Amino acid sequence: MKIHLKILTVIVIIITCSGVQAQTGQELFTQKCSACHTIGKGKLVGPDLSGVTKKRSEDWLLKFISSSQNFVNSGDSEAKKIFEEFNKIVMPDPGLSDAEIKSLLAFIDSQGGSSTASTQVTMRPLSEATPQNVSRGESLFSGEVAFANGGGACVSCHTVPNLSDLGGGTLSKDLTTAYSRLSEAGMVNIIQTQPFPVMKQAFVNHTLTGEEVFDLAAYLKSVDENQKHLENSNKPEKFIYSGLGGLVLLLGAFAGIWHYRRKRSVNHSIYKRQEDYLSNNIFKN
Amino acid sequence: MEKINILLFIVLPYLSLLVFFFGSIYRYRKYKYEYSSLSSQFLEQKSLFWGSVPFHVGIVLIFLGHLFIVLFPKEVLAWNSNLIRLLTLEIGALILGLSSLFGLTVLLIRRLTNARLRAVTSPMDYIVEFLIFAQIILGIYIAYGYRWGSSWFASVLSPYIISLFTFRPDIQAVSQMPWVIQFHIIGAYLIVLIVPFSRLVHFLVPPIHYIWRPYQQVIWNWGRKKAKSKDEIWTVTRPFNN
Repeated sequence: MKIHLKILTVIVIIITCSGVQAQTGQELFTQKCSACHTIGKGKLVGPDLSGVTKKRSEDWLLKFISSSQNFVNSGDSEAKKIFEEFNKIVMPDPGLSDAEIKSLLAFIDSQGGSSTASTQVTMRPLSEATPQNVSRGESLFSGEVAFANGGGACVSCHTVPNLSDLGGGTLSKDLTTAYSRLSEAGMVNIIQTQPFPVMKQAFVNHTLTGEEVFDLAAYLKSVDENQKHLENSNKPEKFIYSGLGGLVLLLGAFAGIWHYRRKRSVNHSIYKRQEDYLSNNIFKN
Repeated sequence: MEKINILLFIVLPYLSLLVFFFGSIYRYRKYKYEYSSLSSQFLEQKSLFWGSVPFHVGIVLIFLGHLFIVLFPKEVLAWNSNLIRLLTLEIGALILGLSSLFGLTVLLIRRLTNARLRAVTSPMDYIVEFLIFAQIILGIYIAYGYRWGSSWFASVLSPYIISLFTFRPDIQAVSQMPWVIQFHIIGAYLIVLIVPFSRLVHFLVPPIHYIWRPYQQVIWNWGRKKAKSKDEIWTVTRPFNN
């Protein structure tokens, strides 16, 4: 077993080390922040980061960036205010070390007024969307039409009203009000760049095309605008009832299939016969 | 937090798989005749049927379902692209989950209330029972609370599991999943970890050949019907096996 332990240790060390590579502040910003933040180009999903290093102390920024939710929950009033101001959208933990966050801050600081480091999407405004775009968006959302590059349909994790009896997914946010919550630019940006790790993973090798993003955004916009008219027919409790009904049927099937199983001892009839014989012949006389 | 995630989602699965792999081989070579679940059918068999059958049918099919999604995520997503098919799959899986929960509950009550069974139950049996019970409860909770699991499992967790087996572990997504799902994943690793030390080894040696082995015909050469008949007085025709 000693040799096995050594092999195991080596494997574990290789695995833990292989992912660690030094990245510059700019790379980190593009990769981790630019889907939701700009430097000097205004609010997106999150605040504009221009001059943030002068507004807050480094210690405060370190805490917020490394785990914004822990920081908000720890009761910091400033952090809480920002969280609420930006529609309580959770900023995912970027998984960066303190040194990496410092290099990131140094980059933001060096950009001064504005920066070109961005993955921001430029797209024609959603007001140009036609009913065809909306209906194509709906088919993409529900998975009826597959994405050109593969990838799971939105309905896997998200729901909107009027989808089906059981509704859409509940792993992630209900997108009924996504348009008004995130603003047009923010919503399009999230669909396009998937800043949240779970969503990123789902589309890592399945990039959405520009047209798909536009259709989906147009659909979500129309859902948001028409939500008062859409009937929310989601009845998730039906899911559990179907399961319980199916269980009863399944147990019935087991009873039927194994109806002729041996239910008592093989000697039962012999014992029974002796019992009968004795009770007839002894107790009667 | 990052370190805990590396421990739970990279170190633990590799550790579990290594222990499972070498441990199962070692135990088979060293203690061949203890490589079983130590059947308790002789000790109690009435409630065994209603425990063992629903539990095993449910858990085996659910396990194969998980395995299928890991191996064929694209096919599962294609199947799920139609809402009716997605719901069929999800409800079918939920029925099997409930079936295994029903079965395991019967088995647990049976084991706790029967003195003969308690006498042959080891502490490891209780650990196995607890882990699988927790795993099924979590699984059903996830199926209901985080719909639709078959789809997001295929797009988010299949890549993670595959990344483990290709030695390029990527835990970005899994470390951001809701804690219920994380516990379900950790539970699975713990179950794999304890296989070589518990009755769970029996799943490696199922008597599948029973299904296609030649059947055996039993022929009695003595008057079996006569011996079993109620009208026959046993002092005249003595039963053979009595």
